[in-house]
Amino acid sequence: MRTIGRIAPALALLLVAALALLLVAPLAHADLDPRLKSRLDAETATAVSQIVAQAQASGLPTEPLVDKALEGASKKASGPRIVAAVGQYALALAGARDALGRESRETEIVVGAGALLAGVTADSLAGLRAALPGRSLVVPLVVMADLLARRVPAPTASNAILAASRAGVRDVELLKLRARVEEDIRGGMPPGTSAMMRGRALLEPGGPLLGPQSRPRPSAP
Amino acid sequence: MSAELRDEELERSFREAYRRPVPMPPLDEPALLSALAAERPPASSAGRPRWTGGGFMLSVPFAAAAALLLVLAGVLGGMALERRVTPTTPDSAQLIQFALVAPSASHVAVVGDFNGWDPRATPMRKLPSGATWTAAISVPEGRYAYAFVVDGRTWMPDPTAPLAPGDGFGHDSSVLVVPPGRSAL
Repeated sequence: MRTIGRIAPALALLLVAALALLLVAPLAHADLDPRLKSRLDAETATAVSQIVAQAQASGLPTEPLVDKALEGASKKASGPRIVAAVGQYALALAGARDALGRESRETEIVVGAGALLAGVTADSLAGLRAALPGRSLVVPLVVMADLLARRVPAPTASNAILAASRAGVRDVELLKLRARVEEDIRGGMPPGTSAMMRGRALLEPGGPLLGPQSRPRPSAP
Repeated sequence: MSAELRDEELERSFREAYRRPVPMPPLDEPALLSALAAERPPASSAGRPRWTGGGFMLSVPFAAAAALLLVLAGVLGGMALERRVTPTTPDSAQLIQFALVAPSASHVAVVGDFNGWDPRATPMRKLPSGATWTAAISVPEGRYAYAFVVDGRTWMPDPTAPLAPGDGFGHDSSVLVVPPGRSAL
């Protein structure tokens, strides 16, 4: 009887600890995004959620991170690969925000992160922001990332877009540049050569991609 | 003599002292049994088992009530967090038309950031011409990566759209940008 009397408090504490675990476990589970819970294994979902929580605490966009994890799940990537991809994306988002400035729009940060992941340097992002204060950088960054994805060397792609943007080339013309480079590459031209040639043509007054309203303006000092 | 040896000597003497038989009074079994039968259990434990230890006391009903409260708090807290993380859809969405020429495909779906990359979410319809597959989705402002899934196994980017940088999973994707209040790229 004395032995039971001694272990009873310990049993009671054990019971309370177990109940506390019962309480904490559902809370921890509920903290996960339901989309992650339903598409990823528990370990991967928890790791991704931790990255998302850190990003949220840093004021970074979090939806792209969840989307990246879901993309990995659909493409049947392994858990560690998904976590690595989401982690890299989070770092790129932070890098893009630092390079573009904290006042940047969320879409600019997301596109900037994509450009960094494609191989654009943070200096190029900052240069683009400095060249185009107050203007949306979404299209220039999308085109820059597209050129890199098509194997245009990073310095060539960055210089072409930066020069065109400084000259006041409109977004629609940058998109045409992208399409022309794609056609050239499909036709067998080296990506770097095509980007350089099309970039120069874009800056020539009366060039094939310039309309009457988009004459290049003098470069910013 | 060292301290260790003194300790051993002391221990041996204690052992010998305690192993000596101790004289006991003769056991009066009937008297002992009747005394035990007369003993009454303490009133506090009658019909209500408790765990006690020092100043700490926890009864079963109390523990059950505490457990119920804890579980209830967990469920309610979980529901609250579930609501908090549910994504919302902005009102400023635009209808985006996707198209892919794939004459030999038997099933095509468009997947991307806008539908959770779920191949079952947005199946495309084959046009009567028999070569082009289309789908239209309402997409809010933002930047989206997307791709087509042909016959459930082949992933391909949109040949008419900008490429997204490496996805980290070995498949190319495309980029869709929906600006506020204007047509998409």
